[in-house]
Amino acid sequence: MIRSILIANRGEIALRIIRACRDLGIRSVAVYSNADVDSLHVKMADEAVCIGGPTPADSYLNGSNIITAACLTRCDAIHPGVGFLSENSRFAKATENSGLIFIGPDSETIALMGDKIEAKRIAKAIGVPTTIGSEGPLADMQTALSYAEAVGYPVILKAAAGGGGRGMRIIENRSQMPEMFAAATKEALSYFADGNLLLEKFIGNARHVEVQLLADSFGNVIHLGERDCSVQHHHQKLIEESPCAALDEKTKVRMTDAAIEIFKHIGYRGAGTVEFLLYNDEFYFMEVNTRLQVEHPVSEMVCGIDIVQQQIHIADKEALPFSQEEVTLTGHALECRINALSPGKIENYIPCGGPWVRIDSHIYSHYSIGCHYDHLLAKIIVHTSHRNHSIRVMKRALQELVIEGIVTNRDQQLQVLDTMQFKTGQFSTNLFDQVMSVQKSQTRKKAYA
Amino acid sequence: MDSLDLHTIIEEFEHSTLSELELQCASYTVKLKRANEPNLPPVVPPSQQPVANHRVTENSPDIIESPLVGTFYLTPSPDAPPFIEVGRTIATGDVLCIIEAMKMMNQLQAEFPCEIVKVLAKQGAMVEFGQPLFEVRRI
Repeated sequence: MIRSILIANRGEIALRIIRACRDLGIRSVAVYSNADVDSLHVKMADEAVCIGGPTPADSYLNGSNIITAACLTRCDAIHPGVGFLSENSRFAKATENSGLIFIGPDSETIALMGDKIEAKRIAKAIGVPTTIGSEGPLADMQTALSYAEAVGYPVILKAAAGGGGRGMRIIENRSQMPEMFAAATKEALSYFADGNLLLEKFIGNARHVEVQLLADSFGNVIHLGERDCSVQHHHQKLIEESPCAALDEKTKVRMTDAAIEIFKHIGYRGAGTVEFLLYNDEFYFMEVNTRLQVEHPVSEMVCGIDIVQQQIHIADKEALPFSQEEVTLTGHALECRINALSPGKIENYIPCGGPWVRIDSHIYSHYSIGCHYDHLLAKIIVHTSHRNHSIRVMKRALQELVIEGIVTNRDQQLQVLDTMQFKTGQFSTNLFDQVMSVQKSQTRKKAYA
Repeated sequence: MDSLDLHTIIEEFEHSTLSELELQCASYTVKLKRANEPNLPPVVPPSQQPVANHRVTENSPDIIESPLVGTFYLTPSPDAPPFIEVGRTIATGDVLCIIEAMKMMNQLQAEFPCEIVKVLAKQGAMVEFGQPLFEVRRI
């Protein structure tokens, strides 16, 4: 039985997991770096252990210090959160080998789905549509060129071991290939220590839609609906919503069935996500995220299920307490990520509130945002009966929100919400860049006027 | 726990890597300890040792901090004398203590000659990264 959990993460996600522990009567142990002494997760956990210096490699990626801290503070399990070690199969294995429970899929599943080429091959083998492109890693630039000729430009190069937009390059024509191939290889090598690339036909006007799943150790797999994460900048998600405005009921059923089929086929255990590209009612498998996702609250709001609590129950070898038929998805949930655009000290923070609003955040007045970690400050989530209503409530919430002392992306988010494309639900992954380029040209016009 | 009899517990203990085991239940308390450690955890060679952190403040003794998370031991084995004692002078490279992490015995060495003023960590207790271990005076 899990009675104590070490949370191998920081920021808002660490708080999110501490809160789930509190709700379940589980003791929580936080870990932190030198730079995070004043962080809220350190104050809120039942215990906290300093595990290293400010750079992630010294602390939040220091598996040995984290596992030792878990053992010495008598934890039963480690929750890796998102990012850092959450998709590191060697860390999961080391955790299992130390007699601790890793709250997530088993290490073999993480390794299997971490190999993007293998994951795509599996999806294809069980009849899930995938984007056309290379079947395996590209041997060299010449192979990349011949694949690109075969599928037609534009194409996208992706790191075989990658994710999060690293090692990705979109190539419009033949002449761009040599430079882009070299750059993508270099980036993939430095981020993932694996320079292998794959090539796919690039679908420009597509949407990013993903299915949230829960699977227990007894073969039960259920979905909690889909999330549309098309509002992105440099492949980093900015706005997420559920349900997806562009998905008809028939396509939705096909997509969730495909996601469940993949999880059943690989014997997945835990919470996880299958990501798809959606283009004209056709969807294509992209990858499986073998962890909790930043945008999980969107699904929590529409299904009323605490995903982090379920992760803990599943890790504790409990069966899912509900069937697919018992999961009801109601209303519409919308999430805006508030990011810092500059480091600095938050002089004043007044959170938004009122009906239909949830905030997952770790910031407070006089909290300093350093340069060592990601720049997520807060997730504002609203849940109402209709999409239009959610947009209105979100605008109200963002306008109420006060974060002084640093530059945030709040105004950019408001601009996106105000576009005709977002209001009508007709947009693709390039919406954010479109909005920003319009803004730039308007600023230029004003300057000349 | 109810189904475990003493025989099973001893057997489990013998096959484990544990050096000590203490169990309490409603009917009895049992404490097991190995006489001679048959397979001591590996000692990390000095070349791979984590470097001791030390903090220098003016006009005050230096503080040697823990470079990793682990269990603090002042002695090389449970019954042996400690590596260092308060008041003793230490040469560069002398072992100060052991920090056990992931079944590895990490020996912490002095980076400069000094005199031990105070031992700040407790024998057998957990130490975290950056925790003060020794107060020393440079010679």
